[in-house]
Amino acid sequence: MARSGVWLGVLAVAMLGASTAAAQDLKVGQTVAGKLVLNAKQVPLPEGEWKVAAIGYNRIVTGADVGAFGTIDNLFLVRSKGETVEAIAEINANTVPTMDGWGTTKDCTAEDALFKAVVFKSGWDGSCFFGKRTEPGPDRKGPLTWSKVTQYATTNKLAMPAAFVTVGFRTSDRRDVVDVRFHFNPETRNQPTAADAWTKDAIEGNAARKTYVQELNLWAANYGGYVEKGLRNQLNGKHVMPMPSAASAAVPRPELEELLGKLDQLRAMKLITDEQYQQQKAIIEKQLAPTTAETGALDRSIQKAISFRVFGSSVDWVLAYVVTFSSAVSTGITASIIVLHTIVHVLLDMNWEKYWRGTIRDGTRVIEFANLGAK
Amino acid sequence: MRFLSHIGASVCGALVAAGTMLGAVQAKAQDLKIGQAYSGMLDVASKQIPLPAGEWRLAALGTNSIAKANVGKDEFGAFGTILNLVLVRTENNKIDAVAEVNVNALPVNDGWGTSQDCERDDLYAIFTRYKSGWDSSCFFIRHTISSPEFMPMVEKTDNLFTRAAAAVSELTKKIPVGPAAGLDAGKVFSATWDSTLGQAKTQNMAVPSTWLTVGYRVANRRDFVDLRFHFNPETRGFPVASKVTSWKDSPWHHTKVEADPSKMALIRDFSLWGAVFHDAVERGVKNQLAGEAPIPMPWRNRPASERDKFDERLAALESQRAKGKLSDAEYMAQRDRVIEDREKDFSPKIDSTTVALYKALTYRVIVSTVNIGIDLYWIGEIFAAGQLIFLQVTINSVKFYFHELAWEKFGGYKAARRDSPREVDFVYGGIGA
Repeated sequence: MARSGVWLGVLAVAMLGASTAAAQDLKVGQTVAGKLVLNAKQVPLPEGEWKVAAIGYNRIVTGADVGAFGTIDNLFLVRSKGETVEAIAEINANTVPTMDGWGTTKDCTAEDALFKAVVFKSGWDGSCFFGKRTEPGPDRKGPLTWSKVTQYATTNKLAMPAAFVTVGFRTSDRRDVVDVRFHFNPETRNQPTAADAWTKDAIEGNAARKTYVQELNLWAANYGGYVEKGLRNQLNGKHVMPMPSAASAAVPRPELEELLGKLDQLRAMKLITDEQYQQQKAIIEKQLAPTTAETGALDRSIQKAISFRVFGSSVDWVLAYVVTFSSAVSTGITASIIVLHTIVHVLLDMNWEKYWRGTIRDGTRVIEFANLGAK
Repeated sequence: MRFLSHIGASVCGALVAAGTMLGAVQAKAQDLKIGQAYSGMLDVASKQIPLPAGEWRLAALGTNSIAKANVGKDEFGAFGTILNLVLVRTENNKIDAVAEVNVNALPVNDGWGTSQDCERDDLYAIFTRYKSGWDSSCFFIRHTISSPEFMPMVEKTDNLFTRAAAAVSELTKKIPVGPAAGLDAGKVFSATWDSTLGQAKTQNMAVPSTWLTVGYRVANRRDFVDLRFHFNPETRGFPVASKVTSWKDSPWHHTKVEADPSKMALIRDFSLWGAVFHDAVERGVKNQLAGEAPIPMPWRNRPASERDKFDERLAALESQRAKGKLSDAEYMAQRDRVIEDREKDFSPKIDSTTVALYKALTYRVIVSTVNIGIDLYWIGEIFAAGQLIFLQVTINSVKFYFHELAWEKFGGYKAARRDSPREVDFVYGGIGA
């Protein structure tokens, strides 16, 4: 039985133009705006028109066995400014949902990242973003689909820079993964395009580049919430971010504003009391900065060793005395135990933490696709 | 007359209200009207709730509370409130089924938890697909009683389901009515529901004293859906169940059902149906229900392979193969994997007591070796050192195990989040324990 709302859904798409394009409907050259739907996941796009430059498949380059995932759909969209590529969106997403989760990307923890943040990371879900420079040169492998992008650029007489400044997002849960990377052309912001202008040291020594990277960082912190919403298909017409700029960097987290707005509605409808409203408002307002899933394994292991030692040493001394009837020998034995066992305890506990994090609790699993600029 | 599905109604509303930026909660809530019929699925607070085939009439709409949780209720963060809906499906002038829905109004950051019903050992069936610190998915099958004699007792829980059931069963009583389309917690009976009662009265509809319940809890880091379908066994050919004074005395209690082949066959059918519907509930939490035909109501006497027809992962793989994205060999390998995954529990298998035990054993082996050296050095006698080592091994092993267990359970930093022992439950319809 078809739901009577389906035709209304189609009507909505027709009236809103290409705002919500499904991947199976996409064709090279098509214009997309707002968001696109890719294998039952929404991928938000910054404001403006994006043209589909290439559609293809990708592969998992490194990573654990994730089970039956179908294939990895790989898309590139181009946003141009005159005859220059202003930005490229590179999207990877699974086609079939899995059951045991995905993993993060090493780009979210790379030492040489321009910026990075892990919003959350567990054994089965994760969200992070990062900034880095990307050089799409001929010696870089990248995804197979990239060659179609260069052909597209040539056909449409679009100039590509030697390097991009990339803001990337990896969001995954037990079933799905979306890896979306926006490669911004620094030339459109009057910044140099040479790859060596975008190393950490080069940025640090240049005020304009530093400001630009900070803008991208703040933009990413806001945008990440939309990528996560897209994984849950909760994006609507409101969820369109401007391109990174000084103005967009000054905007407080839109996700936060939306939550506060909904809380206001609940109070207005008398579904929550004033007291509940104030309590929850305070909680939401605290959710400003991304947090890392820091586990503090060393600190915890030391705490455990100390708590065990305090109690355990008394028992050790008593046991030694029961056998030796000598306070001096018992003290010697206990002192030795304290020193040596504490070392063993800390080392053993830390290795157990690492082991269990690896298998269950913290998401140490890393899954990589072939990405633009990969060596 | 077929009513517009909720999806259609809400899209209509969004188009008409040009430029008006309604928040998701308000828009969806205003589109839900008591007495209105819905089919296919509902959109509630940015989650899709699948409904089996047929028309489901919204009987009650309001809020719920976290009735039970094994962590502090403040741990769940700013979830707004718990939205609670009750829908009724009728067939041949009888109440065939009731759907009871609980969802969070606002997304949170740190997950929810499973339901205690998914942890019990006194139900017909429980299947946990996965359970971790931040996501879980399970379903269960049990009986639920709603004997009229209990109405005064369960009324005290302010439970919308029982109020709805009481209203239907007490056909001649005047039912208090609330605002027509309002969401005032506690006052959700509207003129439309009153007219539904009138229809029920003229058609002589009654509420069964016992239901067969298929319940689902699916949760992720942000949202949860708790969806329970209470099916009337009388519309499935079973005689009216006798009124009982407790859940355990019901003729549908699992200890009594095992001796009845016809009841067992029904429960097996419900198990297969429950597994099929489970996929739809999981997809609904992520808004991935795509307008496909609704799953039929629980069927009778169909083989286990029926599940293949509704498996969206198999359908997606087939689509990939048809498009040439997967070779035949890749398709077969992945298809086998999907079928294998069906029976798996993807939860971590190790619990805190097992971790503590393993750590105690490995610690003991290492430090006992160290102790041999320490004791021999200080005592200088093999026999005496041997006695001390024996005491150290036995007593200290026990000491270490309990110390480790205490840290696992109460250790503060998300130690206990590894496997999700967190449980959270709301006020539910009927009596289920």
